[in-house]
Amino acid sequence: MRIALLGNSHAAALKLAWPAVASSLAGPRVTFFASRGTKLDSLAIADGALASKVDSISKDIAFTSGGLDRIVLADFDVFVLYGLGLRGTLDRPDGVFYSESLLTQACVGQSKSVGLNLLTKIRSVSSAPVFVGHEPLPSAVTVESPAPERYLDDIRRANRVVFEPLDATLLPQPVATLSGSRCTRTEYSIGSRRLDVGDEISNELHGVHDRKHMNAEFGRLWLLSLMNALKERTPPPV
Amino acid sequence: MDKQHPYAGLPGRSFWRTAVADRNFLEITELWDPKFNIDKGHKIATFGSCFAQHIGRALRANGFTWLDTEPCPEGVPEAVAREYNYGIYTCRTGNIYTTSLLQQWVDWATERQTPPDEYWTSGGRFFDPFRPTIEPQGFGSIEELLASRRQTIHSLKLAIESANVMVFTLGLTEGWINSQHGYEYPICPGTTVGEFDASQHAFRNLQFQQVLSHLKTAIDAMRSLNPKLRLLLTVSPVPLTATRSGHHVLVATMESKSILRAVAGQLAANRGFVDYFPSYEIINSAPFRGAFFEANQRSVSQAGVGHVMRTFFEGLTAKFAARPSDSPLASTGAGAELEGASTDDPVCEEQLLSAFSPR
Repeated sequence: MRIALLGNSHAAALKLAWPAVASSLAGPRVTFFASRGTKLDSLAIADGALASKVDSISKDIAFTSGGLDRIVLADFDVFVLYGLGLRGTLDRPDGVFYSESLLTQACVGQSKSVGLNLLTKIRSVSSAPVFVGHEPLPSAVTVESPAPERYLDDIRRANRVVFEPLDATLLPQPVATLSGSRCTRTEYSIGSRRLDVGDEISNELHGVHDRKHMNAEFGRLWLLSLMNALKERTPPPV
Repeated sequence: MDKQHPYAGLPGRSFWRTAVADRNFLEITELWDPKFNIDKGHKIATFGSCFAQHIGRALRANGFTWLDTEPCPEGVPEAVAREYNYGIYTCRTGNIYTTSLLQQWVDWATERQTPPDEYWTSGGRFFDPFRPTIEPQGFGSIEELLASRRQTIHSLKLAIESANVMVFTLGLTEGWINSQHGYEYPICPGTTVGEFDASQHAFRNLQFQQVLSHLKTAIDAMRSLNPKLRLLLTVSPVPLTATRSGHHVLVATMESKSILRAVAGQLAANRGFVDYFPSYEIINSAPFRGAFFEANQRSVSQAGVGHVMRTFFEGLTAKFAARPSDSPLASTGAGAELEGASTDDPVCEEQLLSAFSPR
């Protein structure tokens, strides 16, 4: 199974973890196409491929993929969009009641992102399965009780309202990494590194105050969760 | 002979010629002598009739601490938030047109009364009779409707407890009540949603003593939760869309507004923690020649709202700002358009009554 994983700085955690995950699996091959921030928004469909007219972005893509400066959609069986401004939970205060109708509207508003733009572009030419991973929830300052129902509700709502209509699936962050419904457990943000695009800050550790980026162990758990989702989607051999 | 008498030595603002007749109406100043300061650190709650929405918006835009105890989730486009009545008032009570309706909300927030279970249905959706347009498509279930109402009541309690100042705009004396149980609706049942039932729904036009009594009771109840709460009363300059009183709508408007103005004045005169701000006079007085109304002679124009709010901020500055930089208007600069004097129409169910006027 050929998987194209498109992401921004958050994809670093997955890329660092992939060799170890791959060694324990037979079959899936992941090709990473990543660039920091919102740069992948410049990718556009041309001749059945996603490509950027910006040299530096093409260079990032080539570096992270091992030489491919464009993403030929027909070359892949599955697409994964990771990070890219996608958010996992609606930012709202605890304990305040909102109607389902309003939350649905909020969900639509909050989904506007580079990730959703890329999904729409992919869907304009490909019907291959697409899995989506939101940017990790920020790491917790204090550990909240492990009751992520609200988070999981938000994921279900986002799937129902935004992703299922585009025949895509938003995957929740692995439950083991969650601290309550709004945060990631602190241990997963320790030792996170910058996305390697071959420049001088590549692979640097993020600052100690960075709560948004996660480490390779987080990436490993997320990829295992992706592999499980792929397994569930693939019908067993007859 | 001694020429001294009580009028001698009074300032120019005390005399019609110097304060009004000799001036362009835009230069009529010193209309408000605030009783207490409202600075950018004070938490300000706003509730009341449609016109109160402009006050909240202008306070926010000018850097004041406008309390929002029922905030919208992030990511909701502004137009959608507005459609769902977030950010209109400090919490989602909807318009509170009458002092009796204010008392009703405060009674619920202070648990003196329990809100009724009444709900309305339309097209398979559920509507709150006390906030019939709070959700554009209504609620998905009765449980959701009641949970939302409980949230607003809780948020109102939070607002009362945490505000330093509450701005309340008095709007109407006319209202509709449930004749069996006595509770009040913000708008006549059947005009937006719900069904009018003459055996259940009765018209009521509050007289001076009733308006005063309801407002005093509401204020006392709020002060029992927050003894330091101060109130700034205003009267909406917006005329009635329609009257059920039997009088001509212009006559009914003048009667209503006169009563509301007198009540606000009486409370401000008798209570140190209550002040009155003359937005009603600024828009409606003869020297302003109706210039601040739109063509329908009812809606207040952007320029009118801007002028009202400028008077508000200048009043505070003149009395309390020790240095020019303390002025709430310091950041806007001379001649700048007043921020917050938005062209957005206020959210106003009462205005929907105009749909029933004869063509």
